[in-house]
Parts: sequence; structure tokens; C-alpha cells
Amino acid sequence: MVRPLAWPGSVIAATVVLADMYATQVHSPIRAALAALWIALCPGLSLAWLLGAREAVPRLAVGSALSIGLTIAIATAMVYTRWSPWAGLGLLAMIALTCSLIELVAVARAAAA
Amino acid sequence: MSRVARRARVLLAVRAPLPGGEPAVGHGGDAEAPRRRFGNLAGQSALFSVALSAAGIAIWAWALSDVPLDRMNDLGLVSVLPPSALVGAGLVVMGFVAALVPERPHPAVMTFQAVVVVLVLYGTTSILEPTTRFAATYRHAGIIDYISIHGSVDPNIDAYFNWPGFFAGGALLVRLAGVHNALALTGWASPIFELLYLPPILVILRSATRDERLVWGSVGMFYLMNWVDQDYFSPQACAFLLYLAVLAILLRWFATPDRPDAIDAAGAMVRRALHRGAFPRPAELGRPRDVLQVGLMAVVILASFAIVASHQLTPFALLVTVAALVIARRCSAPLLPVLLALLTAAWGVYAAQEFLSGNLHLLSRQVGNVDSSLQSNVSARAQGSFDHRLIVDLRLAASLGLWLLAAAGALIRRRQGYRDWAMLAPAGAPFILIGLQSYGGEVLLRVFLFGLPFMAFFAASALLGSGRRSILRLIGAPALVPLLVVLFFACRYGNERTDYFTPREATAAQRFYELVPRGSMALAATQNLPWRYVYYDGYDYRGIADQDIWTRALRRRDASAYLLREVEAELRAAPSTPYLVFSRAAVTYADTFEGGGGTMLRLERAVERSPAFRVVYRNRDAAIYTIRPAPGTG
Repeated sequence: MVRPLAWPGSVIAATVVLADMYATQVHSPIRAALAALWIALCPGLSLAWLLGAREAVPRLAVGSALSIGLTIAIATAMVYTRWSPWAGLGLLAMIALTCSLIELVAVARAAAA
Repeated sequence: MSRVARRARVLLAVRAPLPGGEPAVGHGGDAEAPRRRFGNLAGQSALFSVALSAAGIAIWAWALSDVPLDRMNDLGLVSVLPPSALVGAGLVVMGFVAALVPERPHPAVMTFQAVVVVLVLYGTTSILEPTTRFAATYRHAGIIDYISIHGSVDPNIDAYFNWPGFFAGGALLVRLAGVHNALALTGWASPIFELLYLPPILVILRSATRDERLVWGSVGMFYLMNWVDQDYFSPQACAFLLYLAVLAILLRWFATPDRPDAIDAAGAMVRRALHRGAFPRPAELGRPRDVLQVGLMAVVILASFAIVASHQLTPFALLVTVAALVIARRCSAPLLPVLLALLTAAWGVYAAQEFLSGNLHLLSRQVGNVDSSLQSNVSARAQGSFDHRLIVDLRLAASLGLWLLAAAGALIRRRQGYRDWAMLAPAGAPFILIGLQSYGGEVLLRVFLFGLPFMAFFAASALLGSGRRSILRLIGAPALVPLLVVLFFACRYGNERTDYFTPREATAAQRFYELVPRGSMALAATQNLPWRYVYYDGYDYRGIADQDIWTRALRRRDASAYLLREVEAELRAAPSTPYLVFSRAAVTYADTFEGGGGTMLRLERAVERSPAFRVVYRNRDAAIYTIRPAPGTG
């Protein structure tokens, strides 16, 4: 039970920690490293699970493509319309949190059944 | 022979798999005995491989503590790297090979070994060098800085601003990371990108074979042969990751199995339709598999859009590769190449219009000009000192060697009855790019990169193949691994003398922005400087070696005297106070890669002696000059 929860749990934890660091203006190498990893993986990891990529390796492959693809698509759209890093990052965080919560609930329900 | 050496020989003698990757099982007698032996061997080899890698890392890390980077010559990093660093790296790769001994290598052990190999092969410069390498990385940081400040792009500045996807994403990352400039995030980009490549490569390889030894052997081959150094903080590194991910999704979830030809398939479909009615039933439309495939196709389109928005060449590589998969009937999305072509064309028409309208005639002139493309990619690079030409020759030999080995592997697998069109098509398709563009003399490098995961698969097949055809068994890992490790360091870090910037050069660039007023003309020996990471459009940046005066000078006997006159004239014609910048890496770059042969160094000395120039800032590796008013002008 713990292992399936680890993926969405990690994404939620990383998102919350990073959001806190962003809001409280913490400047540290840890924040920089966490941000790079988060952008490369987190927004897409749970979405990849929802799309059926459930084993670790395919999930990482699809998840990283989704995360980087979403980041670039959102940022590119903002460059040609209205630049708002806060809104862009908020949207990515929302995708990460929503998909992870859905995964969390689905995994918990499956375990209960 | 000692007991330890005998043990090592046994463990490193890679055992051949049966075709199809099924484990070899003994016949007769105790049926459990081979499994027990296998289990013992797997456990022992895992321990042995981890021990080898641990010893390798310790030796490598100790060796990196004292490397005189200032003494590097045109052979690059290998000219100053202690032999013990190469021994350490060799032991780590041997550890990886030792972990491949069991027919079913342990995934956790192999993952650990792959991470360690990436650290040693791709993290060496991150540990050794106190500054970020590559002038292009500084420019990329500068474009991100521009977007962060302006929140938009100006496509007239240069080509980068016509494909801003990666940089716009980078600007979001900079904000999230809370750093002042993207340079702070670039130091470990290469090992991180290489690790991110691992999952899609594994998915691709596992779509082609069930033989885990071959899968991980191919991974090892990929990492040992990826000398092209395109994994730094760049649109190419990011686009290559997305390229791999798209191919991984297509080969895993949209693969078409071997089937009868199209006519038979169409007949079967018509028969099914007549039998069940013309339209699929609602239940069929709502099958989970179909819904998931729609979702995964959306991921493919999203990743393709990100590639198209970020990089000029990768969309074409993806287009030809996906088209090859469709033609080879290994992809069940036949309209995807059309969609990719439309996406690429739409981007060119709407977002990259400024660049293409000014350069389309130049680009279209290169289409079909294979001779010119090869000349600029091969002959034009084989110049400079003997050491540099040696590195270029080694790179050519390594690339051709891999391709030949891959061809042998493909033949061996064909004779074993495998139909590897899903791997052959992406291995060969990127070669079409040679006929489309020279890409500033770099298209061959990119062709090598795009085909590498697939070439590595076939090369590993040749090395790990069964029976007498196993080259690894014939030559032996202990002989092959050191050769490949030395070749990797020589090829990948062969230009390190100009890719690396000393802390003094970085300080000079920093002082440039403190001392030189915005809007000034800044003429440098070449653009190979650690600058433009801020104020990307704030100065009139120029390079002597980028101009016609450089080409004309190289044809003259008095090249440096001629250049001195021309440079002085150019600076005097500037509307505001102009500045002249020399640095160790910029001068070396001109003399090694731009055919200078010492001309730029002589020009720098002539400027030092000339009364027309005044020093604004100088340290041992860099100098900034301005021009004194001409006599009689007050």
C-alpha cells in the first residue's frame, strides 16, 4: 500500500514545499535543485499514471515529457500573450496537485476494495 | 593467476543469451541446479560489480582533486586528466559490465550502475571546473534573462528568439528556483539530462527486445558513445529528451505488430464491418485502451509542439523518424507525420517568420547539397593543430566504428530471425537530414545523436551476441572497456581548452558589464566568451573572426598587421565609445577552429603594444581595451 502512495505523495510533498519556498522567498541551492527536478518531472508524473503509464520506467518517460512539454507550452503561450510567471507556475502546480490527488484517491479506493 | 583475478575473469566473461532473450536452462539431472547456480552468479556478480564501481568512484574522485586545467592543450581534458581518473572511470564501466553477467541483470543494480556511469562520464567537468562551460550556455542564460525582464521576445534580435520555447520554460524555472540568473542552474545540466534520457531509452529498448542484458548493454553503449556533448543547458538537450519520449510512446503504445500486407488487412476490416455493421458500437468507442491512446497521442502532440517551439532541427529529425516508422509499418498513427509537418510549417509561418523571411533563400540553397554539407561537417573541421586534428580523426573513427558495429549487429540479428524495423527505421532516418541542411557544420553531429540510441542497440547486439559471434567474448571486456573509456574522454572533452572558461575569464566578463556603458560596441576576438548572460541586447556584440576582415587577413602574409589596422578603423567608426575584448578561450578558438594558426594571438600582442589602445581591465586570461582618440582630434 505504501509503495503506490509514494509517487503521488512525493509529488504533493514536493509541490507544497516548493510553493512554501516560493511564497516565503527562500533562496537556497536546495530550492534551486528541487525546482529543476520539479519542473522536469512533477506536473506530468500523476497525469502519466492517469494515462495508463503505471510502471516506474514508462511513467518516468511519459511523465518527464508531459512535465517539460506542459512547461514549455504554457511558457510559450505566455510569451506571445501575457507574461505571468505566477499564473504559469500556479497552473503547473494545480495540474500536479489535482492529478496526484486523483491518483491518491484511486489507489486508496483500490486498496480498500 | 591469483584467485581474485580468476574470479574476475569468470565474472567478466559475458555469457551469451539464447535468441529471444530467454534464459539458458540446463538439460537433465537436477532441474533446480542451474537456477541455483544462476542465483549465486547473479548475487556474486551484483556484489562484485558494486565493489568495482565503488573502488572506481573512489579512485576517480581522488584523482580529480588536483587537475591543472590551466595546462590543457589541444587534446582537451585528457591532456591534463591524471591516468588514475581514467582508471577509476574504467573500473566504474567495468562494474557496469560485470553487472551484466547474469542473464537477467537485477534492475536496481543496473540502475545504480547506470547512474554511477553517468556521474563519472558526464559529471567530471561539473566537479572539476569552477565555472560553467560552453559560451552557448551563457547566451542561453542571457535569453532567459531577457524573457524574465521583458516578458516577451523580439524575433529581430537573432534566430534564438524565433524558437523561444526552451527559454520561456527556463524563465519559469528561474522564477521557481529563486535564482538571480539561469547560469546558477547550468553546472550539472549534462548529467541531469543524461539521467532523464534513461527512462525513454529503456522504454524504446524494451519495445525491441525482452533480453535485459541487451537492453542494459545498449544503455551502456549509448552512454559510452554519446561524445557529441549536446546535453548542456540548451534547447537541443531538452528537445532530444522530448524526441526520445515521443519515440518511446510511439514504440510502446502505438507499435504495429508484424501483420499481413495492407490489402489483407483492409479485407479483414471490411469483413468485420459487414459482420458487425458499418460503425463501431458505442462500447468499442469507449474502450479504456482507446481513451488511453487518445491521451497518449495528446502527450505526443504536446511534446512535439514543445520541440517545434524550442529547436530548429529536432522537428525535422522527429518528422523523418516518425515517417520512417510509419512507412516501415511500425507505427499505428499514419497521420502523425502529416501533423508534425503542419506544426513545423505553422511555426515557421507565424512564429519564426522574421528569421525565415530573411534566411529562407540561404536555407533552401542547402537542400539536396550533400557534398557541401559533408564538406562543412567533416573537411572544414579537420584543421588546426596536430592534436586537434587527432581529436577530429578519433571522433570520426568512433562514429564510423559505432555505425559499422551497429551494421554488424543488425546483420547478426537478421540472421537470427529478428525483424527489427522498429529500430532500423529510427537508426537510419536521421541521415536524411544531411541532405537538408549543413546546420552550421553540425548536422553530422546531430545525425549521430538522433540515431545513437538505436545504433547503440545494434552495436550492443554485436558485442553481446550469442555464441562465437559475441565480440565481447572474443576481445574480452577488460580489453574493450579501457579503450572505450579513453575514447569517450578524448572525443567528448577534446575541445575542452576552448569550452572551459577560467575563473579569471568569468571575472573579466563580470567586470565588462560593470565598466562598459550599455549600448557600446563590444568587439571580441570571437564570441567564445563567458558573456551575454545578462544584457543580451544591451550591447553591439561583434566578433573579429565572424567578419570578412578575418577571412581576408588569413590570405595575407601580414595578417596580424592588417587586422590591427582594420580593427582600429572599425572601432574608430563606432558611434559611441567602442571596446575590444580578448580572452584566452576566444583567442584559442579563433586560432584552432577558425583557421587562425596563431594570427589572433599575434593580433592580441600587437594591440598590447599599440599606442592606439588603452587598457580598461586586464587579468592573466583576459583584457578589455578601448581606443584612444586619434591624434589631432582633441
